[in-house]
Order: sequence, then C-alpha cells, then structure tokens
Amino acid sequence: MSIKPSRDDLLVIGKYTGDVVTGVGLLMALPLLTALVFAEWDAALDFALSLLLCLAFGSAARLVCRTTRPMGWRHGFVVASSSWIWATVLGALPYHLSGHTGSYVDALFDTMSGLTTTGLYLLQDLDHISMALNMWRHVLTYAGGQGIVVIALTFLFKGTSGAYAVYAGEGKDERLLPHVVHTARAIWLVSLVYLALGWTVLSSVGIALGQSPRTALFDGLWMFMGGWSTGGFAPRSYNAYWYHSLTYELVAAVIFTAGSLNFALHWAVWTGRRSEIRKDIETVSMATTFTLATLVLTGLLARVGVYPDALSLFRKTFYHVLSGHTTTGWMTIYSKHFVTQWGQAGMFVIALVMMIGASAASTAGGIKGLRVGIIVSALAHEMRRTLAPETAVLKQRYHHIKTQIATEPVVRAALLVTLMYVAMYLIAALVGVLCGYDLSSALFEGVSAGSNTGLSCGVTDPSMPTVLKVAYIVFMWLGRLEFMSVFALIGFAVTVVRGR
Amino acid sequence: MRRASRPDAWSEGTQRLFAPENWKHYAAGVAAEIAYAAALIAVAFACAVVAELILR
Repeated sequence: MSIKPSRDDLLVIGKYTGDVVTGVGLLMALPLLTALVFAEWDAALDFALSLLLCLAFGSAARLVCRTTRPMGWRHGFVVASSSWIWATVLGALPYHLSGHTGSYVDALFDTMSGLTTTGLYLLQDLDHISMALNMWRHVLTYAGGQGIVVIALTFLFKGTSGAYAVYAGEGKDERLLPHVVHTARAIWLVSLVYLALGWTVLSSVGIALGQSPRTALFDGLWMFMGGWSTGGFAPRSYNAYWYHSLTYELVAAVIFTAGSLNFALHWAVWTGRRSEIRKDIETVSMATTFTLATLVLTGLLARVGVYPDALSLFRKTFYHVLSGHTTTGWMTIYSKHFVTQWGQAGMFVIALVMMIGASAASTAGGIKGLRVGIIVSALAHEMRRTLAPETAVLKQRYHHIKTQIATEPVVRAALLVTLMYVAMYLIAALVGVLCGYDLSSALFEGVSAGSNTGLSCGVTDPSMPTVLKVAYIVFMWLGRLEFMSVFALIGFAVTVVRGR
Repeated sequence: MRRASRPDAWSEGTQRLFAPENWKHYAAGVAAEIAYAAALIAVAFACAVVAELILR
C-alpha cells in the first residue's frame, strides 16, 4: 500500500523547489547586467521581467509553503527533479521574449539543453542574438554543469538532513567532504579555479588569433563555460569550427576533458593524491575506450581518404572522439559531414563513445566510465571465478578514490542504470525513425540528446517535428538526472493521486 | 546574560577550502589533470600517424 503524502510533505517540496527557482532567477542578474552594459534595452527588459517572475515564484513558494519540517530523503529526490522542470519553464522566458525561438517549445528545448549541458539548440539566427542572451545560454550551461541544486545548496539551503538527497538526486552521489554544503562549495572552488585559468588562456589565444580584446574576452568566457560544463554551446553558429585553430582546439580539449572528470577525483587529486588520476577506474576506463575508438575511427577515415594528411586526420578524430566521449558536443566539422563524409561506421563509433560518456559526479552525461568499469570488472571477475578452484574465495575489487569491493548491489545498480540508458537510447532512435529520419541519423541524434552530448548530424533543427523536440527534452532531463529522481517524482505523483 | 557566539561551521569550512597553504596542492592537481588530457591527445596523434602510415 502506498502512503499518501501529507500536506507537510507537499509544503517541504514546494519550499525547497522555490529556493532552487530563486537561485536560477538570481543567475539572470548576469545577463541583465550584460544587457545594461551593452545598452541592449530590449534584452534588459526581457531579463528584468524573467528575473522578477523567478523571484516572485520563489517568494510565493516560500510564503505559501511555510513549514518547519526538515527535508527528508524522499523529499530531496522530488525537489531535485521538480526543480529542473520549473527552472526550465522559467529559464526559457528570456529565450522566448527575445523573438529568436519559433515557439515556447523551442525555448524550453534550448533551456533544457543548456541546463543539462547537452548543447543541441533550436535558437534561430544565433549569430545575431544579443550579448545578454548569449551570456544567458552560457551561464545556464555553466550552472547546469555544476548542478542547479548545487547552486541552491551553496547559497540558499542552510544544511538540512535531506540536502544530500537533493544533491544525489541531481546525479552527483559522491561527497567530496563530509558535509554536503561543503561539498557543494568545493565543487564551486574547482570550477572557479578552472574558470580563471581557462578564461585567461582562451582569451589570450583569441587575441593571438587576431580577435579584438573585447571579442576575445567574451568568446573566451563563453567558450570556457561551454567546454568546462561539457555543454557544447558556443557563441556562434559555426560552433568551435569558427576558430580554425589547432591551438584553440587543443586548449578547448584540455578544458572539456578536465570538466568531464569526477568532482570527487578532482578533489582527491587537488588534495595531494595525484596518482589517483592514473589509478581511478573512471580515468582508466575512459583512456581505454578513447584509445580503441580513436584507433578504429582513424583507421576508417584514413582508408576512405576523407582527410589529406595525418595532421588533419588527427585534428578531426581526436577532437570529435574526445568531444563525444566527454559529452561536450563541440564540433569542427559541419553536421552533415557526419553523414556525407564519415559514413554510418564513423557515426556509430561516435555514437558508442557518446553512449558511454565520461565520469560520474561530473558535468558530463552518458552511462559513465564508473559503471562501464564496474561491469567490465564484474565480467572479468566471473571468468576468474569460473576458472578458479571451487574452494577459492575471490573478491571483485576496483579503485575509485580508494580501493573498493564491488558487492552484488553495486554491480546490480551499475547494470540497472546502464540498462535504462541503453533502453532510452533505443527508444530515442525509434522515435527518430518514426518521425521519418534514417536509422543511423536517428540513433546518432537520439544518443546525443540522451547522453547530454550535443553533437548533431543535422536532425536537430527548428523545423523538426514537435513530438521529437518534446521527446528530446524528456531524454535530456532523464539522462542528466540519471532516472532515479525522475522515477521518484513519478512515484510521488502517483501516491498523491492514489495513496491512502 | 549574553549568549556566547557560536562559530559558524559553514564559514569555517569555506575558509579552510580557501586557505593559502592549499593553493600549492591545487596547482599541482590542475597540472596532473592537464597532463592526463595531454596524454589522451598524444595517444590520438599516435593513432593518426599509425593509420596514415599503414592504411594509405
């Protein structure tokens, strides 16, 4: 029998969801300031209205949902998933008010894409949007990379028992420090240090490439935000291809690779345990699958002769395999080149690395190296057990921050989540095929949305069917929150209706 | 009677994160992570050279 949530349960959820929406609203101060500095009055009005609406929503939620009851584990998961819905609905306002989206669904698509660090977009005439809207796109993806709940935990929540559940509900279930609020602040510390470093280097490279200081400064900031968050947004429609520079590509690749690392691993390495970077199951898994994918792809493309020499081959393969594997989604080829030049085999290799994705508790999406590593290690363990004498006692060990034993629940959880990701990728491909796209394109784009990557072979376009836009919005949300908190929200809704 | 002020645990924790003695470790950590990314890129370069030499 399911227990109907009490009025207090609803109040707790409403109160903390309001806090997260307030946090998202406060983020709009940055694009508002940008609009004021650059005298973009229309954009300033759009952002002022949207910010006020978010603050009104947050205040109303606090006022209506006044309660002294602390947040529990169950509330935390529901707050995490419902916050993402409200943040998307309200965060889409400036997009829609700008007049650069065909419909509110398109605005929702771009907002969800930004928050989930996917990078697919339906915005029209990207090269002529306001500086403020470009700032908002990149702030969304940067904040989404750390997690909007992390923002609320950092500034708004005053340490509650369910705070860890909200944090875990956002797909980051590893603590860097014993206190979850300190963990949130440590995540910001890592992100801000990289922001200072990456912004400086990218801006300097931009100036060296001949950009004006102002353009280089903003491009550097936005490209950093898009790369570190493994989001894949870029300020121009040509994406990373616009820069035509090997140096820019190398710097960008270092930034998005660092962004794809587990925050717990960052913290271990930053606090003196530097050997963790070569011992951790996630980095080992990533290095292995990256090398295999690169070998296969360079072989395929060299045989077809798409690129004239080894350097061109290297530039295109390393960038896209790494961009796909880290679920960043930056591209240095045109979307259609995946279909016309790389062919189905090349697209399949990229789709595979997108499926796997990067690290757990990072800004990245996909199944995650940790789960792939645990499953492969479980397979090896089963083989060893089959060959070992009957009396032998074998334990499956793996190294993640510390040496751990892969118990049956750990392996089962890894398998279960992997299975859910694979099912989602297949459903995404099926929806694409039913909408009239060929299987390879539908699979590629569906995996890209579900793994929060953002590489596109041309399916994502303002003219795509609305049903596919909505499906991709849901897949991006599911992929980012790793299913559990979404299922918790659905379960909660069911108990509200049918519980006793 | 005035109540003795209680130190704010959150502020203390945050101050510890930003303590000057930590920054040397943070810089070394960043260097290690850059080296990891550079190693992946070097592997890709080796793959491209091998593919070019063998398959073309």
